[in-house]
Amino acid sequence: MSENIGFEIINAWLIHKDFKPFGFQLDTWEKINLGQSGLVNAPTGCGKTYAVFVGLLIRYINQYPQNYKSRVNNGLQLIWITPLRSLAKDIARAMDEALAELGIPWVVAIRNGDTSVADRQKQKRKIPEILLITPESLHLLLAQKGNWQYFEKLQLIAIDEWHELLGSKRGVQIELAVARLVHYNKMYNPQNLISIWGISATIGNLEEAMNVLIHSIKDVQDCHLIKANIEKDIIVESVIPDEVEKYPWAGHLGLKLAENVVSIIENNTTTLIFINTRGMSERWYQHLIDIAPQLAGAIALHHGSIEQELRLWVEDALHTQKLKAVVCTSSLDLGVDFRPVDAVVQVGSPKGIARFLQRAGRSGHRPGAISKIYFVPTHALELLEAAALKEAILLKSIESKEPLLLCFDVLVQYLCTLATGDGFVPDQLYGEIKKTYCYSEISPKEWQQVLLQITQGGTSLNSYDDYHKIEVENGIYKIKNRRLAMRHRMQIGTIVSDAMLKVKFISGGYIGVIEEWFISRLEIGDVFTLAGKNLELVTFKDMTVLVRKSNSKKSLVPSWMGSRMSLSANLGAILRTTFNQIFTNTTSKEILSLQPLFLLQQWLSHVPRENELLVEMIEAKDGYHLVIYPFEGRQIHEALSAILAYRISQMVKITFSISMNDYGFELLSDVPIPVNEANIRSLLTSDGLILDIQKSVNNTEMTKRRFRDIAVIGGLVFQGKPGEQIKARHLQSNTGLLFQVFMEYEPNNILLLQAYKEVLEQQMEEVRLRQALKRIQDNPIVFKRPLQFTPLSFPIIVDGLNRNNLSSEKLEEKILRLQKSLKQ
Amino acid sequence: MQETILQVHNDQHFWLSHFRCMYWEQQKMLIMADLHLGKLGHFRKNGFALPQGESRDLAVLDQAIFMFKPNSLLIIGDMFHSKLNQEIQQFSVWRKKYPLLEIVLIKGNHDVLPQKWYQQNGIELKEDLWQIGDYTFIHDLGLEQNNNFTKEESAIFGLKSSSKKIFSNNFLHDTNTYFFTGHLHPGVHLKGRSKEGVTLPCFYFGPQVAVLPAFSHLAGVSVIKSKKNARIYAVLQEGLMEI
Repeated sequence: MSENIGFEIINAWLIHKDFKPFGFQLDTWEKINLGQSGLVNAPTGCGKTYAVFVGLLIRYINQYPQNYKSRVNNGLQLIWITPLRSLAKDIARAMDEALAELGIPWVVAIRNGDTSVADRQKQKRKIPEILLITPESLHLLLAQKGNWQYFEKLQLIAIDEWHELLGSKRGVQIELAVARLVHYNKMYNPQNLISIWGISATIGNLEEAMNVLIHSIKDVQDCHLIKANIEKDIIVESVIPDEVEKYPWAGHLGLKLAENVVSIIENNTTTLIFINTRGMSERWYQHLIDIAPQLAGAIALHHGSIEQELRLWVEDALHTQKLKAVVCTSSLDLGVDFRPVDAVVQVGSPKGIARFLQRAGRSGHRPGAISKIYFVPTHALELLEAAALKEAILLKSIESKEPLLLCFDVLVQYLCTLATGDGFVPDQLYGEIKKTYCYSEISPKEWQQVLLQITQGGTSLNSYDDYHKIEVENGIYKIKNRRLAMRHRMQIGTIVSDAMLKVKFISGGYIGVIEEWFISRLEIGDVFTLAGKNLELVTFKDMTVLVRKSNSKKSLVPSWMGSRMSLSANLGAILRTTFNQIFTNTTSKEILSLQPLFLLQQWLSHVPRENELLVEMIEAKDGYHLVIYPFEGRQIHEALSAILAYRISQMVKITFSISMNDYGFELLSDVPIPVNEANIRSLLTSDGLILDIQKSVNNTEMTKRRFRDIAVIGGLVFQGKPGEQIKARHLQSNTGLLFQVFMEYEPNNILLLQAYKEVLEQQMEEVRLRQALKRIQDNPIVFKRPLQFTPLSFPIIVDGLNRNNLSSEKLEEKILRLQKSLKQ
Repeated sequence: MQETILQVHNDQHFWLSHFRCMYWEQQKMLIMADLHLGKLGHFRKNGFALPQGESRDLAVLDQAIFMFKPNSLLIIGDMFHSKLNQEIQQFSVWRKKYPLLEIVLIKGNHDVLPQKWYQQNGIELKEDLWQIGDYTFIHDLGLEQNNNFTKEESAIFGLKSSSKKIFSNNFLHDTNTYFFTGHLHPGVHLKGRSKEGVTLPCFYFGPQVAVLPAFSHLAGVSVIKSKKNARIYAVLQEGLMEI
């Protein structure tokens, strides 16, 4: 990095500011200056933004050493893709500051769902040099006519927080958009070498993460993985209940430890309190204010369903140190740099090591500062997870993010996006699509099926049909109908949520949004909590819920679906090993505190060691409970339970209600379950796994759930603006029905097949499932028949909400049995 | 479990069928509600790529007609899902198979095709309701918002008494008449001991009103919350079962 004027100018500026660049920043600048691509890995708060952004400035100054201070209207130079809207503002501010100090008259603009129409028009008339954008808004730009002109001069594509996007369908959206921008570059500005840079926190598969991102240019460019190698010190402190044996065995709130959290808040400058779901965060916020009224005004609530204005206020107040604490969900997981935060509280299991580290990193968000995180268990056994997390941090065992392959729903949506813009010619586009990592293995036949899906609405062609969406004109595929094009634009995106309703005071004033399925369970006059307020449901009007303030002590807390995360494989494995320490001379205070509970478990049943599989058969008044503890995480348990239930159902006619958590799963039946010491091992064999998976998947809810999201992304269902298309919701809100229609009329539809595939690969995680079964086969199985529920089984059995069903009985038989049991 | 269940009401014989319809023996009339023909076509026409095939509902209708040999068909509303589309034309072809069969449609909220179209397809229209003797057929009694029924019957559909409004039509106060309606797509939920359950479409026979299940298998159901003073017949694959 010598003899270049750009670097000298930047270096002088940094010296003036008394900054010394890190080694990884110098490395990145050098590569960018050479027009190369890659991935930067550094912990949060270490200047990843500067590594990429300043690199481009050096290159620019080197291109125009004479007039870089006066050149204007350069066209778009840098597109900065970020997963969260709230990140954009801070980054833009930092970039503006640097540009001003360097005297470079570039324009920085933000574009996302909050950008006003006027601002968008302005960005169109006068193209900014830097555009910060979300994946969805970028796809919206690609849906505009003549959009290539916008990207003609593009030098660098930066993807921020790539670890957060990789492995999700938003990540696939980015792959597609990057391929498109690379294609524009080749078509319209071939002398220019476009660079692609990912920015990522540490994950287990950084090399792969980079390959996914730069897949479309890897044949023509050198790519570099640059690691910061900056160690960040983390202190993990568990909050341990005074009497663990009296602390609840099940539950997910942890409010009993709220007093301890208050003292944490009081002993630190600013504290972030991470809660796993929005509903629980409402309860915590309310409870903290109740028990510590002195905190009122100094504590705030932040989650995705809170009005944007309020969220922005909270974020600003965090910057300016006006708040002592913020109760939040994953909404504050990412990037933004809240310097005053010096402690983080994690309530309940973080489910993964990477997420725990990320959250810990929200405190001491400065190079060299120490991160401090307190772990608050919501039930006793979670203390064991705390011990496992500490172990995992020592071992640096951080999860990988597996990239998604062949997501046809995203492709269907993307093709419609292009068809809304300038249209596309399939044969030309095929090559471009194949250059992405996600679709590199797409076969010509699958490509034809995707095209059929968007032109004819699948393959169910018959003489009675008036499907139309994409029209073919001179070989160009286009959406010409303005209404359909408009609807498609509103639908771009891959985050599927339940229909949301606005909540307003009857006297006026917006409070927030709430999931429709929750509100549909309430009756007029019921009281619920939202945005920390108790509200009485007055009436519905259009798609708005009208409420008034309530003084009622009792209120219902909305629970949000879609927040059931599963324990990661890494954390599960380490958790199993912590069992070995239970009855040893351990120094871990978490494990020591749990000993009374494990003594009870041992007395009633057994405490499994690392490689033992514990099986408990418990007879109770509601039926026969078969509970098995593989400690593989909820997701694998869902698959394992379906397979085991299926195999048993082949032996006898039986109906199961199935429940699971991160530690194990339960099969419940009202007739005796024919499982014992002799056959349990053969029931858990991996022989015939694939066939049994397929058969059990047919019978479970998993495929339906997957299909719902795919249907929304693939444009089969319109979520659109609330209030519109209410009539359409009749069939569409009922996913079961939609699924049934496809099963009946078009079982080979490419989107339906994708639902099966996703269940197999992502939900069932076949590879992991095989490993789990092999581990079980190679190790002892301990079969116990406790006379009452055990500490381990209790949390699984009491979960009455999220249950699956599997049955080998005919519907008629089942109903006769149900009726008989009712009469008894 | 039976294929048909006889429901006798003031000497009149109503045969309930697992084809989700009901045969009135004395009138030789097959009665059903909520066919929603053309529903998939409606979505496809609007750019949603739902699959579509030969209508299963029309095939079931064929079976029901073969079994009961009715002189007429009475449809208590929502025969067609929406505006004209190609799928609805399937019905026009189907109609020609039964030139002697009378079809009477009491208009429901979904029946929005032009008057002329019904004429051309041999469907006699009744605007609001139709009375035969002591029986009144109406698509929607307003059980959801406006009802003047007994407390029990309000409770059945999970209504609060505060949402009661008195219907202005005098005939509704005539306690001698018995109502047959559709619109609600009633269903029943059966619960077991071990946290299991199943939801099925059903016939509902209350003291003053009967609600027919949706004939369409694409209609979905809304679960009846209470069955005080009423008889409920769940519809299964191959028969009916009183609950």
